[in-house]
Amino acid sequence: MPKAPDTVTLELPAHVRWLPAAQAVVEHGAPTLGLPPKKVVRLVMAVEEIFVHLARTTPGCAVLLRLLRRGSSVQAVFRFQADVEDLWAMNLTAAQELTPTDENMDHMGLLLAAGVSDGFSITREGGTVQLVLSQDKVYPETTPSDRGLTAARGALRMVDDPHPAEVAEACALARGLYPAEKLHPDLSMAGKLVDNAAGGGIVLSVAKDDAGAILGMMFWEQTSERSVGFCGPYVFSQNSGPVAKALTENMLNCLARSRTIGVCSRRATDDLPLEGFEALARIHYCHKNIVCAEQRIWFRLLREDDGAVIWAHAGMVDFLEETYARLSLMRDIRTVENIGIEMPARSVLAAELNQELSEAYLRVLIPGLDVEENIRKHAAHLRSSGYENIFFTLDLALGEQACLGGALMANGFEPALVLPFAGKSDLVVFQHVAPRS
Amino acid sequence: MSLPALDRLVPAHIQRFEPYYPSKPDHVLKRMYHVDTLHRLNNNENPLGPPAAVHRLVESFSPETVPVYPNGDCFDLRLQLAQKFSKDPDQFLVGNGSCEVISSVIKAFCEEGDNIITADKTFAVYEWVAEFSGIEARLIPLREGAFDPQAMLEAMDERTKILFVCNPNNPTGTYWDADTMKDFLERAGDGRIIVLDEAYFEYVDKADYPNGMELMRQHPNIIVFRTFSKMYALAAARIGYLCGSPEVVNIVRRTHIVYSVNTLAQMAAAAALEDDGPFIQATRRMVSEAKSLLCSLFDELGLEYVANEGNYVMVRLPMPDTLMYRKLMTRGIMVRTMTGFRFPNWIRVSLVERPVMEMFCQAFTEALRES
Repeated sequence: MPKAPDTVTLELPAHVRWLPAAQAVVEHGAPTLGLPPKKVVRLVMAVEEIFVHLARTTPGCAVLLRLLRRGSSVQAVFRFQADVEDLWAMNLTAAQELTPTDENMDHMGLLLAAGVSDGFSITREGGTVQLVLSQDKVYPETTPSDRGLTAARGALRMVDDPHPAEVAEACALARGLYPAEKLHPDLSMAGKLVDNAAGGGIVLSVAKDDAGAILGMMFWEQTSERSVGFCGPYVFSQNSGPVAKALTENMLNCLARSRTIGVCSRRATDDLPLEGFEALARIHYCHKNIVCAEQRIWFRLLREDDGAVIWAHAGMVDFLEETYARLSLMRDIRTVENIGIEMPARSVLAAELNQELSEAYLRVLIPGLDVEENIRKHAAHLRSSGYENIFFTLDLALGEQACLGGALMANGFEPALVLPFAGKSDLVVFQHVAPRS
Repeated sequence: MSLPALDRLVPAHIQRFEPYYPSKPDHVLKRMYHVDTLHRLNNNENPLGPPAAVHRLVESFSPETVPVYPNGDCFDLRLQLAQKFSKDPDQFLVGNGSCEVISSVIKAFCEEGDNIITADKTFAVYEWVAEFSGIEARLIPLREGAFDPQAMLEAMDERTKILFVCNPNNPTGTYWDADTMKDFLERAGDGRIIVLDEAYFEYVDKADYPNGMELMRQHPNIIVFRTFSKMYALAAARIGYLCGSPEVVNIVRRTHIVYSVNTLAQMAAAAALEDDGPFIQATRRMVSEAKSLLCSLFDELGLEYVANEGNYVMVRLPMPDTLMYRKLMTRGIMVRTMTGFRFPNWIRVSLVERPVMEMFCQAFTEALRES
C-alpha cells in the first residue's frame, strides 16, 4: 500500500458558517504535525483571518485548505479563485495606512494574518490564487562549541545521511568557528536543520575520519527549480584543504545528474576551493552601522550553457551586458518598459528578513499600478527599522518583473549581481544604497 | 480539459528521474555564441569518416528506397557481422545506437527489486536506463581511474542481474587487461549477465586488451556491445549492436524493438565493415598524433590529464569546466564538460585532425590566460 502523505485537505465554501470546520482542522491537525500549542494558536488565528476575509470579499467561492508539514514548519495552504486586488494588506508596510475602522476590517484581517505568520507567500496561476501561511516549530538554541579544530585520524569519508546528534555537533562547531555572516540561520538551531533535512528541504553531508570525528559539514537547498544555494564548507579539521575539497566535490557529484543547473552561495566560507567556482560579484555589506565589508558571491554552473533569452528594463541593460560579457554567458537581452497587461491597483511585495544580519530580501508577489510607490515605502520602512542591507530580486524570465528595474533604480536601488538560473531564468539582485546623510 | 493527475499517474521512479536535454543544434549555438564555425570535440566522433565504401553507398542511395520499411531485424547486417566474427546471425541484435540495446538488455532481465552494478564515473546511460525503469543502479567508485572489480563483486547480491563494464572506460580510457577480466569473470560466476561495452574497441591497439567476442565462448553470460558511431563514423545514422550466446540473445530479442534501425543505417554499417583495416589504421594514426599534441600542451601548462585508450583525453582545469566550455565556445570550440560524469572541473576533448587540434590548443591556452 502506498504511504499516505502527512497532510490534511479540506474543500469548503467561503462562508462564515464553515469557519469552525476550518478552525477545527488547524487546531487539531497542527499539533499532530508537531506544532507547539502557542504556535497552533497563531496558525489558527491566521487561518481564521484569511477565511473570514474570503467570506466577506468572495462569498461562497470554493476554498481548498491544506495543512501540511514542510521540514521545520507547518503550513496552511489556501487555494481559491479570487481577485488579488485586496491582498495588498499583506504588505509589510500596510500597517502604516490601516486604522481599525469598519471599512478597513477586511484588510486588518490580512494584515494580522501576515503579522502573526513566520512566513507567507502568494502565487497566481491564471485566476487561481495560492496563499501559504507558515508557522515554524520551536527549537532550542545550539550552543557554540569551543572545542576548536580537530587533528584528523585516518582516511576521510563522506556521510550523506548523518545522525541528528552528528548534525548537532557540527552546528555547534560551525557556530564556534565561523563568523555570523557565514552561518545559515538554521545552524543556530540544530533541530531545525535536522527537520529540514528530513523533510527534503535541505541536503547535508558531513565529513568524518576513521575514528568517527566530525571534520566538516556542508549543506545545500533548492532555491529554484534549477538552482541550489549552498552553505559552507564548514571545516573543523586542522588540515582544512582536503576536507573542504572533499565536501565540495561531494556536493557537486550529488547534484551532477540532477535537474540543477547552477549552484551559488552568499554564505560560502573562506575554505571554499575557489578553483571550482566563479566570482559573481562583491556585495557591500554593513552590520550594525559599524562594520562594513565586501562579501563575495560564488557560483558555478553544472552544465554546458546553451544561452537564453531574458527581459530587462532599458536602465539595466548596460549592467547586464557588462556582467554577461564578464561571465561569458550568452543572453539575448530584450528590453521591456511596460508589459501592457491590466494590473491590479495595489501590488504586494514579499519580504524575507534576517534581523541578526540586518538583511532584507524583497521580491514582488503581485505587480500592481502602485508598485513604484510600494517599493519606496518598503525601502523607507526597512531603513527606519534599522535594516542596513536591503536587496530586491527580479526574475528576468518574466517581463512583468523585469520592467520593474526602472522603478527600483528610481528609488535608490542599484543592480548588484546576476544569479544565473536562480529563478525561472536568471535573477538580478538590486541593492538599496543608503541615502547620504 | 485540465491536465491529468500526473502525481497519481506517474510512477515514483519516473517522478524522481530528471529528463536529459542534449545540446542545442549547431545553428542555434553559433548564433548564441556569435561564431561562424563550431568544431565539435564533445562527442568523440571520427572526423575522417565514414569509410569510402559508405561514401559511395550514401551517394547512390535511391529515394525509391525511402517509402519501404527497413528490414525489421537487420537481417543482412547480422549475416555480415556473423561472418566477420565467426558466429551465428542469431547471436546479434542491432539497435538504434547502442543506447537502445542497453535498454533492451535491462528490460529483458530486470524487474522491480533487482539491481544492476556499474561504476559511478562512466557512460551514464546504464545508470539512467536502470533508474527510469525502476531498477536500482549500484554505482561503484572508480579505483585509480578504472573499474574496480573487487568492489563490484562485493556489491553483488541475489537481486543483482547485470554488471556493466565499460572497457575501455568512457571517459577515463582505462581498461581491464585479459588477466583482470578473466579473474573477474570467473569470480562473478555464471549467475548474472556481464555486459562488456566495447564502444571504443577498435581504438585499442594493446596486446593485453581482451576481446569480448572471444571471451563469450567460455562465458556464455557475456553480452558485448559495439557501435558504428565511434570508429566507423556513422553517428548520424544511429546504429549499434550487441552479441551474446544464442540463448541469452533470444531472451533479449523479446524486449527489443524491431524496425528501429533505418535502411540507410543498415546498409551503411554493412558497407563500413568491408575492408575496414586501412580506415581503422588511418584513424588510429590521427588519434595518436592528436593525443601527443595535447599531452605536450598539458605538460607544458602543468595540468593533470588522463590520456589512455579511446579517441579522447581528459584534463583537469584550475577553473570550472562549465566556464572553460563557455570560453571555448566563444572561440568556436565545443568540448564536453565532465561535472555530469562526476568529474567536476575536468573537460573531455575528442582527438581529431591536427589543424582543429591546433585551434583547440590556441583557444584553450587563451582561455586559461584570461582566467
